[in-house]
Amino acid sequence: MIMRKIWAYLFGYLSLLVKGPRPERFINLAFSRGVYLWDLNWTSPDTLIVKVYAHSFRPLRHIARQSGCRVRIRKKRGLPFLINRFRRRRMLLFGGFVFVLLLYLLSSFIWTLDIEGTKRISQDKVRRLAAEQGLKPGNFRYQVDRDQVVNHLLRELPEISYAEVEVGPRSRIRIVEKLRAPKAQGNCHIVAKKDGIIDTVLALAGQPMVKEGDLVKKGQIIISGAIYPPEPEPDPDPNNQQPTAPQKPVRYVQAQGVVYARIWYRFYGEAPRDEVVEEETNRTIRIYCIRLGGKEITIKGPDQIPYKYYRTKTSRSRLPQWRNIKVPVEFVTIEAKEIKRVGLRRSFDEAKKLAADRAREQAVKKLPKGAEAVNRQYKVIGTKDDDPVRVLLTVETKEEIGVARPFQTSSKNQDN
Amino acid sequence: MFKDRKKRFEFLAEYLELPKDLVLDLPRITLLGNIQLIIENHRGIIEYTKERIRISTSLGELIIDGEGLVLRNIFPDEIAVDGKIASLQLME
Repeated sequence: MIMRKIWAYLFGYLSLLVKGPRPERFINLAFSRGVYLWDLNWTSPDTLIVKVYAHSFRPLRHIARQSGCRVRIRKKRGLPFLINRFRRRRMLLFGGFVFVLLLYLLSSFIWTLDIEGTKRISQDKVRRLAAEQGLKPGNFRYQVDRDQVVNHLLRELPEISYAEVEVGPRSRIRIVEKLRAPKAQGNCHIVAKKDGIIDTVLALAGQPMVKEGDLVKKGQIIISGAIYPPEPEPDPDPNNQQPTAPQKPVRYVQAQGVVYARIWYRFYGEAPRDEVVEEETNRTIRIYCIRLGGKEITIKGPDQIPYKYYRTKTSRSRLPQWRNIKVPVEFVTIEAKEIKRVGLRRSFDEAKKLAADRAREQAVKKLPKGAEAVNRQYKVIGTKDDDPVRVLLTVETKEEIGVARPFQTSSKNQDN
Repeated sequence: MFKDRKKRFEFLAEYLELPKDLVLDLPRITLLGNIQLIIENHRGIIEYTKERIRISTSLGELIIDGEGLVLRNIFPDEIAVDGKIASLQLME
């Protein structure tokens, strides 16, 4: 079916008006002579619309004369007629051709050059290096070899690890800078970031100073970068006892390790038993207006919002800014939702649940990143009759608390 | 074997599993719901209005009644009718 339509379009077809006493005869004669008719339709009781290929119109006139019908052309459709029209209007075709040519010509220049991914390297430097290979606004884009630009950038900028270049009317250079190797920190301890109870200590380098279950204060050394010799065995002879002299560290290292501690946080939430709540009534109204400079002109909707209590949402859209031209026209949509105030009485359980939810919300918001909650405990403060109902949430978390803190080795001073 | 020529051909068609419409010169009428009717092997149109189309076939006259009937295609061997088809009649 669609193939037939395409053919009809390619060969050109006519929509004819056939008027006559016996159109059936016209139809029969047509198809018996091999003239293909389609989409036959009555427009009025005596006129028939018939579609026919343009090339079979000549035999059709003969048929019409035989069957006593009058044929008139209603529409000419298809490619041959289109071409014919353009033959008569050469300039239109020429204009279209010029347009395509101009578009092609203009799009073969580089208009802008965007550089992405630069953090430490200055964009100007990248721009200059690209321009050395011809990639700069104003140049013909077929002159620029993408691979050459990439190679040039990689060669000239040792601090990038990857470069991607897109050459087009809007060219783009994407750069990935090399990650800087972390600086050697020198000797350091791992100390506690905050108070807590040690859960696990995994010392990769250095000497652990605490055991699991120990309480640590903020700033306390957990893994020491100073390594002491093992303590001498206690002398079995009680007479030979000497006060053990403070031992000197054997060597110093950069302590490394993972320290997990259990930390408790408290969050508080409360919920009143009686409350006035705002509820939406599902009635909304929209006001559309145009803002011209400082003046608002309402296009649709009432001037005033006809509700007693309402919540509004305003969205503004303006024409895209181009260069420095700002069009001072804004399209503003104000959506007002009616709300009603409802007095609410909560039972103790409901209030408790709400308060607990609020406490949990607080916890979600305020718990530090990386803290894994191990245990949660809710506790109602006060009695059942209290208003508001207050809930205290205690969250036990497990989190990494080790931070490196460099220290100066005092061995030299001791030696001298 | 069969006196009647028609009977003979029918037997032959049955026996050789040939399509009967070809062998017996019968119209093949395909009705799609009440919206489209395709008649193959017809012998021309007798009447065509919006409400009624009469088509001549080897069996006699096929009368299609309906509303807004449109002749979608006319070929020497096939007619396609679109529209809301209400009834079909075969008049010998």
